[in-house]
Amino acid sequence: MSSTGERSEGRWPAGVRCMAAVTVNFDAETLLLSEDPTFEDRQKSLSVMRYGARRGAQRLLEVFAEKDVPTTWFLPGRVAETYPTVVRDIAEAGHSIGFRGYALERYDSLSQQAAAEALRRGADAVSNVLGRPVRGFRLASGNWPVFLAETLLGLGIGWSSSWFGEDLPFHLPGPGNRRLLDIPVSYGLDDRIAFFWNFSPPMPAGQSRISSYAEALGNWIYELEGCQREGLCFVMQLHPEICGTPGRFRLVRDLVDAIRDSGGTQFATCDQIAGWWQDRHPANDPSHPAEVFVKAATTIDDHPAPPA
Amino acid sequence: MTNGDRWPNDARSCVALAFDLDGPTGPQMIDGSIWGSPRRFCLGGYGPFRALPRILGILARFQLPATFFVPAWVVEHWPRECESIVGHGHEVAHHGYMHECFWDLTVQEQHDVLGKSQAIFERVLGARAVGFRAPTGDWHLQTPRLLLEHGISYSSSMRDDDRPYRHVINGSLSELVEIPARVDMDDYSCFAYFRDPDFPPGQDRIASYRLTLDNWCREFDGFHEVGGCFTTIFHPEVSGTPGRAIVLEQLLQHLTGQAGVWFARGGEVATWWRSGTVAGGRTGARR
Repeated sequence: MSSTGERSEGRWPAGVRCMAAVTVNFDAETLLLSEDPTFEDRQKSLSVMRYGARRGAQRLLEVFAEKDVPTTWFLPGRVAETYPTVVRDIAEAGHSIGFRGYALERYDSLSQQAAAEALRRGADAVSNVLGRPVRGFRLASGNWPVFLAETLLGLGIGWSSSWFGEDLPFHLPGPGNRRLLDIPVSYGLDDRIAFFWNFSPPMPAGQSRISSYAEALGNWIYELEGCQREGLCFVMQLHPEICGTPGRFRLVRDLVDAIRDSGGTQFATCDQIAGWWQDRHPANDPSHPAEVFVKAATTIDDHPAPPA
Repeated sequence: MTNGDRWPNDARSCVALAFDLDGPTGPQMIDGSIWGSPRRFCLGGYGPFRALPRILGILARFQLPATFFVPAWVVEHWPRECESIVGHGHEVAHHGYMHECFWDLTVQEQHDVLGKSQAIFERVLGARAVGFRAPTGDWHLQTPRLLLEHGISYSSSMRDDDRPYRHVINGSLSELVEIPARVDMDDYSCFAYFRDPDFPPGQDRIASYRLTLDNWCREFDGFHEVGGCFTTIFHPEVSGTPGRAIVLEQLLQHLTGQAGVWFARGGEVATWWRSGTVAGGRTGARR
């Protein structure tokens, strides 16, 4: 056993010490509607999320253009249908685009068939706007049901960026030899968890105070430095309605500058990272939690079946 | 104030660094739902797989000893990683089999968990454990007696002092030493965050790393001033991320910058305290 830092040689392309994936979850109104369908009639609440489509996405695109940063955006099919022009702007600026189902479904509460239908509808909607098949996926909410990797592979999806519990890409538990690659995220690198706040209904549930901007950025930079030390994969999750505001887009600029200023860190899209990793790291370490899960789960007889 | 012979070598205070290596154990493993929730399993598995080697590396650089309270299920499934804890000179101690809350268990069930876990420690790590930290804290009035029956000679579960004491069982002072811990030094209270199920239940923010470090340093400074025993409830899967490991390093930098601190494993603290000439340990009996 060795720490991740000691075996980083050859992990990334020559000259690259650390990989940074700046990602944007572009959910617009769907985020609220997926949590509570009664939002359909709540125009003020919906307008909070609409801000991302109307203003925030463009402002983030300006930051990324100014700083020459390739990024990856994830959106549900419904957003592609509602805001095709914004989605095409993102794609034409050279960013990578993945999908999140049709309406940010909770797949752990759906049957495999219902999940597959929602995923196909979402992938088709995004692919139609892009004019090419979408390749990446990010789970919105709920838990990842055991069948999901197989379902996504069946739809031609090549990678996901949904799991926790890793600092590097890894292969998800799945059936047979075909394994879906994941570029893991973390709760600590998510602007929604730091900043999102809604009056009624209360979000977050306990309406905790909005984080200090300086301290939230400070936390992200702590994690960035940790990733750089060990040559890991830094994955940031942003939201246009949260960090595309006049008060917060400069945090994104500061974060991007911090990534760039540290030598040896390369910005990459999730597509690029997945392509690199798939070819060179075909298997997980046997002690990897995904492998331990597969081994332990097969010895448990009474684990609950997914909902029918 | 003077501490007399409270700590070895005339040290003013004691630091017993401790980590709870829970991995994916806990309520969802006990009720079986974790087997339908592989992503959640991996969030816990991050502890033994990624965070533990990182933390062992930091402790080695500072040449500091620590105690790891490990559910025996984690020892069974990450044997190589748990062996390396011992190999680095640290102590491995009890933390249930699947992180059972002892309050929820009958006396017989507590017996079974302790016996099963001791057998796993002996088989995988070559020795039975002498320390115990109650998962989630609460236990039964009978638990201290059961711990002694299973060869356990100290606990770090209670919250009622800032230095060790000996448990009173059936009205008599026992050999079971308590090394009380405090939730102020539990990383769950500042950094832990999950959804579905939510923790914290109100989805509170993740605290500032910088200001948390400041809190932790102030905690230690106070313990040092009063000559107490400072221990931690750090969870590798929570505070062993790349960025939080730097916070841990900065805390250790602060601790090691102070003269007159005795750094010890839980078992050493307990042995020292039990050997005190004053009845009941170095500051007398409690309770």
